[in-house]
Amino acid sequence: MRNRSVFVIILLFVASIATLLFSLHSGVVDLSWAEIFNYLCGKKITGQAALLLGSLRLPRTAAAFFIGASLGTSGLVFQTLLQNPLAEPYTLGLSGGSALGAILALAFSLEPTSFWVPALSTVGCVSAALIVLSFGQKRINLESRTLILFGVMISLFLGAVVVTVISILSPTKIQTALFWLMGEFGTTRDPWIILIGPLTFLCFVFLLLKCPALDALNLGETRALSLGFSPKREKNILFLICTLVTALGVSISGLVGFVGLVSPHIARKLLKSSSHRDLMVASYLTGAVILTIADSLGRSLTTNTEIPAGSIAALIGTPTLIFLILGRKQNASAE
Amino acid sequence: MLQLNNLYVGYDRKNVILKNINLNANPGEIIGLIGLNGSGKSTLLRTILGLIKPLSGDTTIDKISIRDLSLRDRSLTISMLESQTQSVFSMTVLELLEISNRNNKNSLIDSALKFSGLKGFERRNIRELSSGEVKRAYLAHALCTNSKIILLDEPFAHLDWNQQLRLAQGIKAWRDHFRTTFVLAAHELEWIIKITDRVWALGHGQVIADSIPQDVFKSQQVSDVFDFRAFIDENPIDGSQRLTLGQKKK
Repeated sequence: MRNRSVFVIILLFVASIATLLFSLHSGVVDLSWAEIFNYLCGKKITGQAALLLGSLRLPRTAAAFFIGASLGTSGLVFQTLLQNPLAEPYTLGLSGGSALGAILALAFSLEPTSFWVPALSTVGCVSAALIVLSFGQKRINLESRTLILFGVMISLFLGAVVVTVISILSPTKIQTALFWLMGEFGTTRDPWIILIGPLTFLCFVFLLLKCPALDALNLGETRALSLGFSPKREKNILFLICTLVTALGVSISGLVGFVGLVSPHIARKLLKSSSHRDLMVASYLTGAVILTIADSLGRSLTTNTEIPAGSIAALIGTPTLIFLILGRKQNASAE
Repeated sequence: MLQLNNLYVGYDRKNVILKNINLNANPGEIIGLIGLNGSGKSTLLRTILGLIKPLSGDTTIDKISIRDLSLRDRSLTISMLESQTQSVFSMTVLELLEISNRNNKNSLIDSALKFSGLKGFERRNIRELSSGEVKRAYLAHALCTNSKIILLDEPFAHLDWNQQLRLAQGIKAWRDHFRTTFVLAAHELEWIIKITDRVWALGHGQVIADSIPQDVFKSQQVSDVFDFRAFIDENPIDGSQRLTLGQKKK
């Protein structure tokens, strides 16, 4: 690994630790740093602080961290596979599929909502990906440009269906739907991260092992095959793993935008490298940092209500991306 | 060593693009693949690589069908570079070479840089290079794959004369050093006659000539399909073979 990559990754690692602590400290109730450190070191602390940290802030922080991280890595993989800098985890209609699933659960008043919304959204997410992939397999040989076009079409279509269904929901359900569509933490689903976090981490390790294939696919199918990778098989596996990771994240947080799009670009900018192994680790940490910060800010900026992490991430993400694009124009060597 | 036996390629039995292809290539040979636009040159190369499944027939290497080789062994035997190969994302020349240099042999990267004339370009970003340099960088990347057979689709396209010369010299020098077999699909016939040992000519979906360049250009069938008359003499400037093409008199 090059010196610059080592340096950047260490820096990002330190940043993620700092962000995690910042996130545990943020919130309406003020906790002292001593209480937080004592809790993390396994010392006994009592009362409200222990309850707050153990059952609310720790799961929530972990959820934001792991979901941001998985969005960052799948964003990188989708951008390489589709050879498109605008690709993100939701590009292939995944957002539309999960949104439709969630909205249908609300429309049919499936109880309990806290189970059916995430369950159906995960199903929707995976089905949308399967539809796009099976189309891609049969008709266009997984050719990137047509695949992305088809994914966007599916997204638009499902988006229209979602709006149609939302218009007949009751006001309280509309609010639930909206928060879910913007990405939220601090729900009763946060503790699921204890299962989903390690699962997404396993997927990340698997993706790390697939980096030589990604490096080869980055140069197109002919080169991938020339370097000993079956382009079709590798693309299918990578798409499915990233879909799984995204769907797992969506089940906890709803749709969180921009993290998956921006993180790989920031990683590329920082590393100035094209090696997927380095980029993968950096995108993982960048995504984690961005979403954890977004969620911490979302619950500490206002006192009586919360701003969804997804919208804060977009509020940070959009200017960052614009800055990156402008920076690219001044300096032709970028990206 | 490379042998194409009775290859039929196409979408289905009714749309056959290439039929009855029987060809072979020996170690260290540079072979020119010529044909008009749409004659199936790229299709043939992609079929040899294994990216396209033939309708029938087989590609064998040292008598072993490529279908029986593992993907890795296949890639060590045969690899291909298309003319429009370029990633959307940026990388340095060295990073590009490292992707194909799977055994981490620095000597291989060194040779590839030397033969493609890119010494000193290692840290340069591909995006900062001229189109000729980009082509040579990808050629160096393809060379680094270190396959026994390298298929190049349109390597000379869009290059100025000087860049074409360097590319041709690089390919020849690499062959002389490593005994690699090259198959070049190209329209630049003046380069084909200069650097190839043999030419495969495609027309009407079939092989219409397979011989030394001089004979191929003078053959009646090639002349009919390409609609030209070829005249070959010695180039008065550098003594190489000079090909002059002219329109046939009606």
